[in-house]
Amino acid sequence: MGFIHCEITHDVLSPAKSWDLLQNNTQGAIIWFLGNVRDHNEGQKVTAITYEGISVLGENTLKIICEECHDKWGPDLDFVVVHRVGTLLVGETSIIIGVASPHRAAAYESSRYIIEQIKLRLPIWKKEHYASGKEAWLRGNSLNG
Amino acid sequence: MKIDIKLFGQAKDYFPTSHFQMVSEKESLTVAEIKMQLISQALQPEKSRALIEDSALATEVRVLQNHEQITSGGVIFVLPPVCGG
Repeated sequence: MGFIHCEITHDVLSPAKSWDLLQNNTQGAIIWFLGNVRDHNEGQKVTAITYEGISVLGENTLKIICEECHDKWGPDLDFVVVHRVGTLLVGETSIIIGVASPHRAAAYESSRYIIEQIKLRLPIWKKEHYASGKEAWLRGNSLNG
Repeated sequence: MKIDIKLFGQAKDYFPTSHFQMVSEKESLTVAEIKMQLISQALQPEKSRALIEDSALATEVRVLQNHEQITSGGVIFVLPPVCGG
């Protein structure tokens, strides 16, 4: 079974540290996705986003999503998924997803699946801060069972 | 029974504090009953109704289903609609 590292952290994200976690000689394809805070949303100038999350539940959810990738694309995939919480300024990285696979197709598909499922299922909430001084929680997807 | 309630995201805007204790005369409450009590305790019950109804409840390790019974002890998280990434 492949390697899974999932983390919710207040620390500044380090692509180099994530890179080191995913290096080995058995995987021929590695895909990286980085999500950054952008400077605009729906016509407003954004200065920062506050991410709020729950560590244990969040990390459990990320692990389940990665295990679903093992079921869909093979047990030999390796994953590093790290999501930052706290207040991030424009340009800072909020998420790193790394997928290593023997072949590129599974890596691309798993990476896309993970970020789409994170949008739908990860217990994280975002409050945008605007240049106008206003702030607003962003709409999300209900987990209501 | 007493349940520790912890609010996240926009749900915090409808209560005086983000962490409080819910008290009930019953020995257990379903998820749906806890949500109804949350709405009644909110600063603006009618304004909060849609958000609380759309919210999930969870323990520290898993999201709960609406029919599940909650007894005293532990913390219940109130999870409004999520938007990670």
